[in-house]
This record gives sequence, C-alpha cells and structure tokens, in this order.
Amino acid sequence: MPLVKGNTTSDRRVPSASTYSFSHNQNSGSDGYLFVVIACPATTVSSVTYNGVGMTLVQRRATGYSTDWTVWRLAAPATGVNTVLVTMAATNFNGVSTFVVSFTGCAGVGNTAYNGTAANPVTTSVTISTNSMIIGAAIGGNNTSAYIEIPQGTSRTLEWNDNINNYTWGAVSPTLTSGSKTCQVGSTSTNIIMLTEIKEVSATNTQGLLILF
Amino acid sequence: MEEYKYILSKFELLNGELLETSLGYLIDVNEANQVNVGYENYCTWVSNNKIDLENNVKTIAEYFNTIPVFYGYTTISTNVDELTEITDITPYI
Repeated sequence: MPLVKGNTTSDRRVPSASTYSFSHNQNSGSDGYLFVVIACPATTVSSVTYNGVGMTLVQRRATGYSTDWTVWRLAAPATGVNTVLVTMAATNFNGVSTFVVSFTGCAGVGNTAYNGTAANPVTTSVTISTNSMIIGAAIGGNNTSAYIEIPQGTSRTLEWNDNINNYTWGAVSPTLTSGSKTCQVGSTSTNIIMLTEIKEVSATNTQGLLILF
Repeated sequence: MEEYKYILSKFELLNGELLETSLGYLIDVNEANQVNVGYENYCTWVSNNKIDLENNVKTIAEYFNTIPVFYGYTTISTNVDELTEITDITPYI
C-alpha cells in the first residue's frame, strides 16, 4: 500500500476565544492518518481533536518568535467531513495558523527535526525511510520571497503561508528515497525550520513462503 | 496542481462570542480577497485593541456595535464536499 497524500486544509484566524474549529475531509482508504501543524503566538495549544477524538502530540517547539509550534497525529481518523477542534491555554487575539493533511497507506510518524536558531536561509536534516514524505514548516520575520526546499535544492509549492504576527509557511514533499535529507527555508528575513517524517506502511509479502529442498 | 477552495463564512456575535458560519466556497482568490476585506478589518481592529482585549478593558462586542455582520474566509481546503460553490459575491462585499 503506497503512502498517498490526501486532502489538505489550511486555516488562519484570530480566534478571539480559547478554542476554534473548522472542517476537514479525511480521505477513505486503508491505513489512514491525519497530521496537524499549528503555529500559535502568545499562548500554547492544549489539545487538538478530530471528530471528537484526541490527537497525539508529535513535537512541540517553544520558538524565539514567541510562538508555540506543534505537530499532532491521529491514526485511523474517521473518514469524511469532520471537525478539527483546537483548544489553547488562553484566549488568543493573535493570528493562529493551522495546517491539516490526510494520508492513506501511512504507518505514522518517523523522525523529526528542528533548527530554532534564526537565520536566512536556515537548514536542518532528518533521516527518513524509503518512500517517506516530509512535512516541512517555517516561521520567519516576513514572508517576502518565502520558500521551502525539501530536500535542499528542490523547491516545493507552499501549501500554507499565513500572517501570525510573524509569518509561517510550509509544504509536504512527495515520497522520497531513504537517507538523511537536509531541507532549507528562506525569505528576506531570518527564519526557523521544523521537519516531520511521514512513514509509509511497509510492504507486506502476501505471496507466502517458497520452500526449497 | 491542486485546486484550493476558499470557504466563505459569515461572522456575527452570539452570546458575546464570535460565531462563524460557513456559507459555501469560492475558487477565485481575487473574489475571495474581495469578500475577505470584512474579516481583515475585524482582525485589524483586534490587533489595534489587543492589549485592552487581553485585559478585559474592551470586548469584541464593541466591534459588532457598528458592524453587526461581516464576511470573509479563514479556511482554504482541497476538498469541501459538504459545501456548494458561490458564484456571486455581491451580497458579501
């Protein structure tokens, strides 16, 4: 079962409350998975649910941009249109960015990486398995000429690009070969970078065993 | 190339809280941005009054005293099966 990227939803809002919600459509197919990336200034994200089911925190970064940066995952999410509900520690009057992406043929999360030393450009590396994808995300002081390369040298179309006091953007790579992948983000200001490996379900031998005598 | 759909929402105040109701979706980003002027004006007001809002000196109800309803988008999605396309943005700008 190959790893397939499904529907995406990006949301940028000023919540004016301690919770916010929106809809996302999870694709049907075996080994479904859902990932959520949130850049939340001024306060922290306490929990994320999809269709009322709690998601598991993959990584949390307290950035130099006064922004709580998190990634969340959920195995076997309900298919179809359901609600993503984000709960924060306090009422938030700042712009908050949320990116949601569905997968099928997914074994879950692999390795993660983060470089919080603001620079332009900035890179970090993650070691991935065969046919994994990478969710790459950036936070920067502006988004003029913002880009992301996954891996370095291969620019990806931005799938979100949001104003959150600072700015945040990112993309999901197609399946990649195994090994260490250095990725890069940049703009006309300094930036930081976060990577999350999305793993493919391992191929299963359904042909049985051949016994030789 | 994936086609992005801009979910057009109505914003109003209900019991002192911001209520967002999805109305449909737009495909043209220029049309979406025309409608989104209403939401961006709200975001600008919140930004300009952030300290007072955080300290409970002001509430968002003050904004709705002069602008009871506005429109815009917060969500962009590749799949919005539950919504229908809006082909005339005139009522929302």
